[in-house]
Amino acid sequence: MDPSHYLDLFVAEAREHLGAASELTAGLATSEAPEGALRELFRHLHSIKGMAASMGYAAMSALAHDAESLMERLREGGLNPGAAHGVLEGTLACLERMVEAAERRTERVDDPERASLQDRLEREVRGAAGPGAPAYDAGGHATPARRGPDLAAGCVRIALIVRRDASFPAVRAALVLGRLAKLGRIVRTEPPMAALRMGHFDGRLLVTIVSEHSARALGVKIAAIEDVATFTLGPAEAPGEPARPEAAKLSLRVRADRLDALLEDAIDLMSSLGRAPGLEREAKTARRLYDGLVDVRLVPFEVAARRIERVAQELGRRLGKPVRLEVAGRDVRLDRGVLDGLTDPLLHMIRNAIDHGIEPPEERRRRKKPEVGRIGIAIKRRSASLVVTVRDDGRGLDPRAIKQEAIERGLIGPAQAVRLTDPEALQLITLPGFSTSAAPNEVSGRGVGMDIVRSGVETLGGRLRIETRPGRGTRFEMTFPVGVALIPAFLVRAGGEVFAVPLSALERIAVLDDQNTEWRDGARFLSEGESTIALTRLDERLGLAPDPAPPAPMVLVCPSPYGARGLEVDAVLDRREIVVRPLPAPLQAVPLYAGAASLPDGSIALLLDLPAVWGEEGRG
Amino acid sequence: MDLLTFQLDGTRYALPLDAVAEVLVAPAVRRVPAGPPGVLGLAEACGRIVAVLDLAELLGRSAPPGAPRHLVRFAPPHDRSALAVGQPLGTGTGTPGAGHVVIAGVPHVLLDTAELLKRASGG
Repeated sequence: MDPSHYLDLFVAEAREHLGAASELTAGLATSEAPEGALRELFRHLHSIKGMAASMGYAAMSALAHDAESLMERLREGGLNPGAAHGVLEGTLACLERMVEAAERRTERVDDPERASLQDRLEREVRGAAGPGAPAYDAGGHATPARRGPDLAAGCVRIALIVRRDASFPAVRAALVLGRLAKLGRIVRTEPPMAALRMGHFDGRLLVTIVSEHSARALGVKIAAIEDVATFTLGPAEAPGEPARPEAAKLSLRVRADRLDALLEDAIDLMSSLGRAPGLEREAKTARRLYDGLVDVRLVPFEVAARRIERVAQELGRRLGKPVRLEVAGRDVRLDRGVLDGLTDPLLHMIRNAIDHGIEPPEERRRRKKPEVGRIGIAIKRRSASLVVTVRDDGRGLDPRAIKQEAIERGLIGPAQAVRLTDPEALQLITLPGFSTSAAPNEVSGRGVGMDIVRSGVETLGGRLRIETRPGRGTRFEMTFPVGVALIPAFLVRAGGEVFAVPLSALERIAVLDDQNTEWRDGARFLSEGESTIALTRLDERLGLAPDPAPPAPMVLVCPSPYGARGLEVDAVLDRREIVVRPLPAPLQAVPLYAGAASLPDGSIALLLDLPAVWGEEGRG
Repeated sequence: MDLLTFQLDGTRYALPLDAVAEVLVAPAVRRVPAGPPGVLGLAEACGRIVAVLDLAELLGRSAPPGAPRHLVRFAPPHDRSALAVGQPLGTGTGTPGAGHVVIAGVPHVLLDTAELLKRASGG
């Protein structure tokens, strides 16, 4: 067997394990470590160890093995989870770097910090197991005894009485249930929730819950719930579904293209049934099938955010540059393929930002900036697009210096440099060979690997924009198609062609006539009392020949961060749900459209990307 | 090598059959305003929306009059793109040389789908 054939699979699975382990490790620092979490952490490290060994990565396997030993000590209660947190974080970061080395097909997969981490892990394990070594409770306090198996996590039956003096007792009971749901999965309540909603409650509540918290920890947390007067805890069997907790965690690896083929079939089915009279029930089932398949492909950005945070923290520490990474939109769910393709470009940008963008603390002090550098990642959906921005408050980019660097490197000629605008000059940093890590100066404040970033973004059908304020920071905006999506839209006509406008982008539609329009300096405005809205003719914007006698000119009024905008069209034809597909290459590079949709008459409508139509994309 | 052959502006061209997913009668092509000049527009081919490349524009040749007669949809990984071609279409076998292939003693320009897409992207 040639293990290199399995490298992609190894990298993907190792990152999944590292991501999950990282999240569990973060919990060690801030709270007690439930037995279930420690067991899970052990399982992830064990998987990494085995996978690394089978790939022949001995150093990685050995490090995972030592971390696994530490987990054993933690599970036995012989070690303070808080004390283990630091070394575990370092170990996971080191394993992450080794996975990256494997991905780059480095000859020897190892890391300079691996040996010292193994020493630290061994010291922790020895210290914990040595004679007279103290045991700790979950809060980090020394205790005379180890945790016993009687406190293990699992299925627990809770009988509790809600405070009798509380008003609206059924409501209080529902609130208590809400609090309990945060501690585990509630599998049964007596009385059931439906009865509580109808106000049927005599003060006693029986709850069966599957929780990763130990019974002791559950007791502490339940006691802290304000409306609980008294309670008892005892073991219970989850009725009728003992295998569910594990089964729920099972995952299957499915090829994305097979899932996409199913999705296309579901769309066809949904579309055919939607037009067939008398098959409304079947159409709803097809819709559920479509929704389910779309959902299966989506993962929260949180999955990548954890890895990026780990890398940022580690790099900042190494370079002596404290940074705060703020991530907005962790819960935005995106296509797994997009997330996988997006993660590496994001890591490149974060590394560049810390390595070259963010100034050292003393320089930041001189510039009257906070010592801790700020990097922000924001991810959001915009109609059929996904917009990801990365910004930092570092030294920014100098377009003139970039031009000079590009000339020196033979990428452009001096005459060409003169013609370039500042935004065009910024794009030069994405050319292969623009800059190398050996030349970190004011110019190549960035540039390292930005060609890789651009090609990664374009592979996903995305576009990259760069903005900077010298001395204040840099902002990158990447826009991607979200994949196949069903969205409500208005179909409009302009210049004889049909376009779709996402409903979510519209505020309202106004009829256009001579009474409510006015001209100022050659520009047309929709006039509504005191307010006026600038109009953009869609046919003009797209270079289409105008319809000499538009049947019913209308204005689509759209909110925008820069004030309301009006899109003038020849007619609004219909409002319907359309299945939007990403534009195929090479049309993905056309910024005006977010996708295309087949219409029932066999024609194709282009979905407009309104910020790009206004020319606002990338501003702000 | 098995090849799909066709003519444009008096020149014979050949595409490796391995690079072809299907040949279909050209459906209506929806133009894309502000799109790149080497792309005629979008068309629906067997439920997929594909970009239709304009070979004449890409190669700097004169386009035949009228709408394209056939679409040649490329095989993966370029299967969301197709080439608009006219008549006649044929197949043949030949041994490729540098940028050309001789089929039954007749030289043909050998096309490469990745290169065509690169040109259409302005690369």
